[in-house]
Amino acid sequence: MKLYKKKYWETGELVTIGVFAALIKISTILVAVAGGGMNPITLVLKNVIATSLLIILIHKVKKFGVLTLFTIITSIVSFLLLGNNMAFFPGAIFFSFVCDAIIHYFGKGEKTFVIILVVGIFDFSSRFVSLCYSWFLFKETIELFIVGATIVAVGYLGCLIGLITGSIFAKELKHAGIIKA
Amino acid sequence: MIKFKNVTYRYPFQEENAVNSISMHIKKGETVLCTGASGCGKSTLINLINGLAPHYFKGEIEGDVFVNGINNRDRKIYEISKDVGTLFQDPEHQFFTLNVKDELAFGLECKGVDEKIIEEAISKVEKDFFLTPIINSYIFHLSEGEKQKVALASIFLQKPSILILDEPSANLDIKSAKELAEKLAALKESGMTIFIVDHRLYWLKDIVDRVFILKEGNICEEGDFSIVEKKQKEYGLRSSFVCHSNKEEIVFKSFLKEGVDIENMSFFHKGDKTIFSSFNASIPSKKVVAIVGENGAGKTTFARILTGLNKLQDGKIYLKGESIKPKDLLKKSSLVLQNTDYQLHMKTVEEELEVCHKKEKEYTTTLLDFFGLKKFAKRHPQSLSAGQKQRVVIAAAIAKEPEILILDEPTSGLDGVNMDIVAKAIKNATSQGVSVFIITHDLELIEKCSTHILKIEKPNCTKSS
Amino acid sequence: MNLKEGKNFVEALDIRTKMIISILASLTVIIIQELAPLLILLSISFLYLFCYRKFKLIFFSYAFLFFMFLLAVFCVWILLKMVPDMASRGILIFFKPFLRVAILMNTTLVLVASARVSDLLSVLKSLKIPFFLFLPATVMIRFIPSFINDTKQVVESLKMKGHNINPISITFKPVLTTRLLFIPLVVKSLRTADDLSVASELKGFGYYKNITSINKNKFAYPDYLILFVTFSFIVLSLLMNFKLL
Repeated sequence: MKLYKKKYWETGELVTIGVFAALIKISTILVAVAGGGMNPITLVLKNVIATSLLIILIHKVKKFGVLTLFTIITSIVSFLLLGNNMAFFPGAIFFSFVCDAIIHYFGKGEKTFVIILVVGIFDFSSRFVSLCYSWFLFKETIELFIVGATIVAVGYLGCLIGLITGSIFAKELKHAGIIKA
Repeated sequence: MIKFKNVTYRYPFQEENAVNSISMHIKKGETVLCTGASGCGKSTLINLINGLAPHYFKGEIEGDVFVNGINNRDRKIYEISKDVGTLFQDPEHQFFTLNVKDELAFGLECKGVDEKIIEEAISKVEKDFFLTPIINSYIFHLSEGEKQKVALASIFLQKPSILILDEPSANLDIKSAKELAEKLAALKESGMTIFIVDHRLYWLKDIVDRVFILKEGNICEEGDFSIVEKKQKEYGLRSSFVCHSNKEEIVFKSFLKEGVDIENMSFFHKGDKTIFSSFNASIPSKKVVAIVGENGAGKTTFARILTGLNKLQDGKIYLKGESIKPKDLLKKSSLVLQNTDYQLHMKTVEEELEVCHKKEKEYTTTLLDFFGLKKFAKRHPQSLSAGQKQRVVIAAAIAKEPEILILDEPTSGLDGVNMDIVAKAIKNATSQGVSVFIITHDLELIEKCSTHILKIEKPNCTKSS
Repeated sequence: MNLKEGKNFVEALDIRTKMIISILASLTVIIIQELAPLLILLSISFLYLFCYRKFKLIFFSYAFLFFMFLLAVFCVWILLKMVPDMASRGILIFFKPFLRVAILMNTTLVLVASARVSDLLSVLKSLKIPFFLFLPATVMIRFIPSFINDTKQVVESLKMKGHNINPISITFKPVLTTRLLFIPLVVKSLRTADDLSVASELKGFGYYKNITSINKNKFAYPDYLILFVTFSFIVLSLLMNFKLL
């Protein structure tokens, strides 16, 4: 049996990313089902939860590449399980990689302000990529695209709120000793 | 086989040592029990043997731990795990796949073992551990005992010479604990060295060669199993034997019209077998009723019916002589789940109780005082110990002022001291006018606080109804 | 043809074939602008879905798509009231986007409906992805059913405390609802992650170069055939779109 000499990712970190990817998927679906898909509050709330969880994940796994890895595995599993489109896969990976680079360059995940900013950019870029694809789908009727974009914008409002709630929850979990300070 | 040479260990960010100057020697084929109150350092000993401390948890270590003659400092965790297999309290948390056969194969697949060898190894372990009826089952459909067996078989496939078990009986019913004891006895017979850490002790009497009692990170007592009984009170241990309860059994004679009366209750899950059929019972008020029976007998379903979470297919439930609908039962009952993590939501213990009632703040203060939680009022509930968390969820359930309170395995994983505190809290609840039901396999708890027993047996009715 | 017992032609295809078809469809539809090739792709993708023989699923999916179409038309009708110039462009331009969505739906439905959570793990192994992707993806699949169960327990525990999670509570008490749902789920998942990390360390995952699998997935004759057909139709539709045919 040949052994790897050195591992970049600890298995614990990989497991945490997988667990959070599952939790984000399930909790957003649950809120959408419980609150009604067309309810704007639901739209906001599910994004609040998803963004908050992402912030906690970054506080927990402070390593370059966490957002990229999260994006890749979420895309693969969502594609297989929910039929999510793989066409925005390359774009999403590119932007998540850029976000990882920013986090790493400015404080290596230790600075809360940088985490908030980067997750805000990450959420925006992932929506931007999916809207780009939608534009190709609906290019003949830009009006339909605008309707979709408005819904996405309402959702992004939830992401912005999630940036604050996520940081508050992360602080609370550190205070409770559940995340290491 | 396992040798500790003056080992002191401290976890990162902690001021005190988890264990102090531990020296011990466990011989090949020996079965050793390690017990003591919560936080005494038992689990740290496990982490030191399997290498998690310090390789995974980091921290500071002095002294040396030798496994099969090799110092753990010189080996990585996965190398140590070739010699040492570890079974945790909740085996489901060790499973990586969704089906039994996949789970058994997964560990070997990740090591790149040839497919044919894996298939042969699984076939063997399937026979040895009697897994054939469940080999293709979904892991969520297994009973706790079956999960233990699968986890044990999965460890066995890695061919370790040492087996360590961390609170293996915490989620097991009496029958499953007995089966586990038999399996361990067989493994011991085959020459395996076994190291067990547990609070519940009665099931280990016939298999343990030696016992260590720990207190504040030090080995305070060492001897054969009889020391457990002698030192029980001194170290806050659980009882070393179980007495067969002489509590009054709930026997249906006639409706009492003062507590909970159940008339011709029938219930089955869609497309599944019947769980209750024409079930009658009459349960007096302000008493503590222990609901007992094997896993899968319908105890949890009974609790869900009694709290209004499940609707009856037929029959009626009466509270104080009046027929009551499920949605009204929901308002008049409280259910405390086994896992406290699901039930703690707020930032402080005080807020946790406040969201459960609409009364003045004094009511919260009274409850905190009543359950001995006053000094933790401003603490984050998730930062409390297991026993303290259990008290918070019971207090929160009582804050709603229910007429029925149901607790699902409230003492799983608790030491003797914390079990006494929970038992006292349960008794106190009845003094608030609540009818309490405890679903439990814990015979010590039943002995300590229940007034009646309701036996639920497979397939569908109480023993005495 | 080597069909597995009780499985139809489409069901028996290797999951990788279904994935390739879905990816190709999602890329092709954004290139094609002409109606005729879109209609050809719609027909062939519908035939692919029809061969899956889950007629109830097909019916409800198309009913849902039709409902979404009506909803979109309603939104556009409101826009038309504000921008009357749009009406001059004709109804066809509203139709093409939905042809694209229908093509995507046809291909992804076959993939999603035939992929069970329990089978996905062997699919992941067969994809031969690196361990640092394999492990978190496996854990994600493993914990989706667990978290559904955990969420149910949290919601029931809240119900017992008198807090119902429904559109009313979400709309009028969003902050409290978020906290009540969020904290127990996060704490549970962090603890789960810790437990599983310890288990994976003890089992030595990630230290070995190769991953083997006892559930073998292999490409068979039908997989090659259907991939050939897919490529042919994509090339045909592209040629038609760019007026090269």
